[in-house]
Parts: sequence; structure tokens; C-alpha cells
Amino acid sequence: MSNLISMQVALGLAGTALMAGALGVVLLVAFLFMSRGGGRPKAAPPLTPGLSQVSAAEPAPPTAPVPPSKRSGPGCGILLGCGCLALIVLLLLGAGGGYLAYQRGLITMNSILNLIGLGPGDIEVDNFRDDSVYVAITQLDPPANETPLTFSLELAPYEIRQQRVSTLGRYRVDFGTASGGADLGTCTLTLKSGDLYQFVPMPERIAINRANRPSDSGPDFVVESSLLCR
Amino acid sequence: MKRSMTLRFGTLILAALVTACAPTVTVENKTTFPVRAIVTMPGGIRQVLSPSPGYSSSAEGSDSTGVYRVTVIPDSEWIEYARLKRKVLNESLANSERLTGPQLLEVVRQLKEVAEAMQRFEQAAGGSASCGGRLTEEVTFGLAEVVHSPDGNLLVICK
Repeated sequence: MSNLISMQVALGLAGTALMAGALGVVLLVAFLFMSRGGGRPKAAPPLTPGLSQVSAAEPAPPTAPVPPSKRSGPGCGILLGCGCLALIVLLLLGAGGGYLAYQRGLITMNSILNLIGLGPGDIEVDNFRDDSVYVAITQLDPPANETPLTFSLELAPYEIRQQRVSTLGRYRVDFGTASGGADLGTCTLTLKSGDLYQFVPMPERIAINRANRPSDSGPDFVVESSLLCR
Repeated sequence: MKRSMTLRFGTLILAALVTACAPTVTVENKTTFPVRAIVTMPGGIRQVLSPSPGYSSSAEGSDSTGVYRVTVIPDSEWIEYARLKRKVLNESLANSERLTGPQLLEVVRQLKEVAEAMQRFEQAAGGSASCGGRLTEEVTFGLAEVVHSPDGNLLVICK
């Protein structure tokens, strides 16, 4: 299934590149057309300095000498055309770079989903205790008539494990010294897109940090007192 | 009613497929002493496993496919690091309600440093202590064997 999504994203990026290129070409053609005067009404022929187009019968009004037109730099159309070309190149480079980065794994499906708030959240447990820790993660707000999602982790001393959760919402995280237990502590958290909750069980307490958006209050870094666990 | 049943059935099948396809990397410790393995799953998730001598331990990733990497490091070095980190964190959080701004920043830095440490250990390990492979839709299981090399160092082979 993820292969299908990857293909869709790759096609999307390639499509963006093509559309950007096509748009750029259309803009370039339009600007070149304008720079050649195609879009302007024809101007009157320039007057020779000192002469005016009046009938011979009428007395010639005094005319100020018209200064000769100066073309010191490139025309406006050429400048716009160059700007357009630069824009096309930038768009193509951006889209192509994005495609390559996706193919090489620098941009992942999850990072793209996180940008639009639909990405998964992560729960990491760093067991810095001298004994094993059992962690049970239970969904608290499943859709009606559906079984809540549950995940369980078993960590030997000094192991680190991470659980990725695609369904966002409220979860209860129980920490115990035995399977199904919660004798070490419990945290009820709200998992949002891109969240990474880091728990560090230690002999005295369990430290918690929302790594993507750390709290600015000291008690929030301990499960017992953290507002993140309410 | 019928549509709801179909939807539920579809969801169940989808859930089963996703679970079945969850990529797994198993590290088998074929040495006679404990080792520590840092497993980087596709998507960049790092996990630290400790397969006992003669046993194996597995890391499960999300449903993404891609490259995984297994790096084996001496158990004692990792435990030494973790105990030191624990001491620092414990001291910092003993009076968490009285932490000042700079102290809070230091706590955050210490917690984030765990991920950096895993990366550091990976980079410091020699070439033979690391191996990797690719997980795909068809191949969702990776196996890494940790053995003694003839010169006494740790050697990991991805199969």
C-alpha cells in the first residue's frame, strides 16, 4: 500500500515539475510577445525634432524639441523574459530536487503528511532502569463501535524503543515492571501529527519530553506532575 | 447497514495487511557475551536492542519501506553512557518545580542528546560492526547476525 502512495507522491512531484515548466513556457511566450509590441496599440510615428504635423495653412505652433530616445540598457520585455526563464529554472530545480529527495528518502511520506497535519506521532521509551519495563499504549477515543488500538513494548534494561502511531488522538501510556502493570506510572496524552513524546523511565521517576514542542515549565518534565499527562 | 459491515470488514483487512507488512529487523547474538545493537529502521527511527548471548531481539518499524542499518557496539560502553545520562537527568529533575529557564533548556538538551548519542555510537563503530539492507513490500524482514571476528572484534552480517 505504501508503494502505491509513494508512486502517487512521485507522480505528483513529477506532475508539479511538468506543470511548472509548462506554466513557465506560457509566461515566457506571453512576455516575449508583449516585448515585441504585439499587445500594444501602434504608436504614432516619431516626429522629427523641430517639425510638426500640421497643415500648411495653419500657423505652426511653437514646438519644443523632442530629445532623441535613448536605449541605454536591455528592453523591459527582455528583462521580464530573463526573469521568467530564471523562474522556470527555479521551479524545475525545486520540483526535480524534491522528487530526487523523495526518491532517496530525504523527504519521507510522513514528513510530507506532517506538513499538512496528517502525519503520524511517535512515542519513544528510553529505559534507563536496571530492570525491564513493560509499556502499554491504549487508544482512549476510538471511533464508535471500534476496538481501541493497543501497542505494547517490552524493554530490557537500557533499551530504547519507539512506537509510531498513525491514528492520532488521546492515548494512555502505562509503565509497569510486569506485563499489563502500571506500577511505575501512567500518562494520558494527546498525540498530534508530528509529535514525538520521549519517556525516560529511571529508578526515581519517569522523565517526559515532547521533543518537537518542549514545555517551558519544569514540572512538565516529570510524568507525575506533567500537564502533558492530563 | 450492509455498507457499514463492508466498511468494517475492509478496515479489518487493511489493518491485518498493515500489521502483516510491518517491517521487522531481527538481531541475533551469536557471541557468548551481551552486545548492544543500534537499529535504524526505514524512516530514520533508531532503537537500541540488547539480544542476550545465543538469543535474538527484534525492532519493528512503521509501514514504510527503505534502507535499514544495524550497528553493534560493546554493551558496557552503552550502559556506561546511559547510567551517566540517568545521573544527570535525575539530578536535574529532582526539583523540577524550581528549574530556571537556562536549567530547563539544559534538561531539554540532555534529553535530546540521547538521539545524538545513538548516532555518535553508530559513527564511531568500525565498518565491520555495521551492516545494512533494504526492506521492500516483498521483503519486510531483515536479519543481522552478530559474531566474533577472528581478531576478537564484533562483526555484524546482514542477511
